[in-house]
Amino acid sequence: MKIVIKNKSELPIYEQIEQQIKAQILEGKVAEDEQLPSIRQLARDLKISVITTTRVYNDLAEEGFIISVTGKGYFVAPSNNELLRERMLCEMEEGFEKAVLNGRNAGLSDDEIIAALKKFMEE
Amino acid sequence: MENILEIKELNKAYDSFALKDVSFSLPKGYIMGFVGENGSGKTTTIRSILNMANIDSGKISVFGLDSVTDTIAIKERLGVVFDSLYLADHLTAKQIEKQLKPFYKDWDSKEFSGRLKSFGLPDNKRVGEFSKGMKMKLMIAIALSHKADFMILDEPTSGLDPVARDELLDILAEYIENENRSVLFSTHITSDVERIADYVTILHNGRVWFTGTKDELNEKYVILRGAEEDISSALREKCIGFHGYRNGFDALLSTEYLSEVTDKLETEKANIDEILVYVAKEDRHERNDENDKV
Amino acid sequence: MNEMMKMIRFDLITVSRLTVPYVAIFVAVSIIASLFGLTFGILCVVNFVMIIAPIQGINNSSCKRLYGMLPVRRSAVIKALFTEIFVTMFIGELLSFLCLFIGRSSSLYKMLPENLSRIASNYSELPESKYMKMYLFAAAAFAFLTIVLCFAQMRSEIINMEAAIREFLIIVTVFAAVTTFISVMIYNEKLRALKDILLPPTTAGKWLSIAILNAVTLAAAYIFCTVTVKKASNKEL
Repeated sequence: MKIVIKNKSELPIYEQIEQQIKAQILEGKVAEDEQLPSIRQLARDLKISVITTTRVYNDLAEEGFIISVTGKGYFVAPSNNELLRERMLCEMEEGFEKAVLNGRNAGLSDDEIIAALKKFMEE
Repeated sequence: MENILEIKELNKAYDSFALKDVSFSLPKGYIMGFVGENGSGKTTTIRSILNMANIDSGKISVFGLDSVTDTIAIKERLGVVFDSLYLADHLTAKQIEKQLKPFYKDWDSKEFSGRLKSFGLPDNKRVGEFSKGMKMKLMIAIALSHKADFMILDEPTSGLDPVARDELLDILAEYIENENRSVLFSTHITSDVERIADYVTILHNGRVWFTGTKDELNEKYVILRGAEEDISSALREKCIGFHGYRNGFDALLSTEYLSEVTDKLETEKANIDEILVYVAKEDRHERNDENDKV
Repeated sequence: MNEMMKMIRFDLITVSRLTVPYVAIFVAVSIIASLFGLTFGILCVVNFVMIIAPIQGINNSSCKRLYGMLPVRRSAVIKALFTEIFVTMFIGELLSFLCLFIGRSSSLYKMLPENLSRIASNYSELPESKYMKMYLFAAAAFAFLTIVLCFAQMRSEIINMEAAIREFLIIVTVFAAVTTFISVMIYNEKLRALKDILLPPTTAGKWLSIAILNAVTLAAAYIFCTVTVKKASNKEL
């Protein structure tokens, strides 16, 4: 598993890690049922606080990406990728909705908003 | 959650300085950053924990034991790292081991020589010739060799180069992998604790200004910026360390008042350093106000 | 090992690397010198005392942080300190006895050039009763130094170093004045009784005086130590 933390990012550290783990699970880079490093190992490896990694795992478990097995640790949840994809799509739509709303408030036409999106994606 | 350190209403007065009702606790398994300006009382608090200072009132327990009556039992399991070495300069690490070994039931010589090796400390060189970073690592090696479950570091990074500071964080991250251990890390270089600390206690003028998890601290305060005419006087009253200049102002604001912030003002996350700066500024304002009254 | 012994061991290691080679060379030199006559032996012993006194100071150098982190009671630290003072001074006394004994028994002085050997032989040929005075003098000197050192240690633990040094100077001055006065009185045959007590005429009497001197020194060290433990154990570091 690959995790890169940017100190200067606006996103809090826990969100950066969550996003990266989620992406790797969805892309299949981490096999299902694979064991994840323990909370304390991860904290040590990334040199971040234990509370932060605890939060990451709790959030991921809540969202169904990973499961906690008492006494053994955390594992990638067995392939329920459909459900997870669904959730990601849902989040994307919410983001679009907000973006479109803000764009319209700013007085942009729909074409201008789409052009802005395209430009954003090219970056 | 079991607390490895618990301080309740600690009071200690000197002629020109006093700790007032200092209370905080550190659960087992976590790192606490203990921050504040120089002279805010960090060292006095640590001296009180170590029973080097006689406290006026209050109670300190470490491992559930009383810091005054059980100080010997506590120190058996406590590792201390000061900003300078407490051992004779002319001795070698090997001789220092010989000195210290009898004091600890659980002294592990293998661990000690292993640590010297992994920390890159020669065992046949006088420790007085060690660099500052090496001295710090030697004190940590000592703590690890007597199986300390709680490590107190008093300003360990002052005067250390960035490489040595990073090494220290590595060592602490490894140390805390064992969930029965805790670290109290006093420093005024807050970037050291910004990332690794789970809990933060901010001491200011001998009082606890904040104590809690680092996330709570991060979520509790924001930096507010804008033009002075855009802030209501009611909100301005609630600002901490308000700093006005020709083109605008900046200040620290508790997030509980976020609803009163208008669109014209900007907010931004505050790191520990910035929080400390605004707290100090607020203090200067109060002093100025008092002087004005006089 | 009890706490005090651990602390003595600790101090011994601290001091050893600095001083063991010097002390060893020094003891060897003074014994060899004594072989050639008493004068040289005495000179060396005096030097020995001057070397020992600063060693005591080393333990004292600010170890506050050390005592703050070590699992050891303050009382054990203090007891160790006083024991160290007494034992080192007692070893110094025994060493000077040894030098005196060798100086009298050895006839190696004959090998020295004539003018030097005359000085040395003067002492070797002293009668037993006069020679014993030297032992008594050595014992008295060490008793005095031990008591003063213990007292200074007590004051420096209870108050601070500067005050202790000031008191130390006053005590030495007063003591010197009193001894000079008594010596003059005895010399003028004014205090016969006191002289017999201080300088018993018989050899056995002199050994008894030496034993009493040592016992008094031990008692004084013990009392100073107890007072220090009582007053300074709870002092802040």
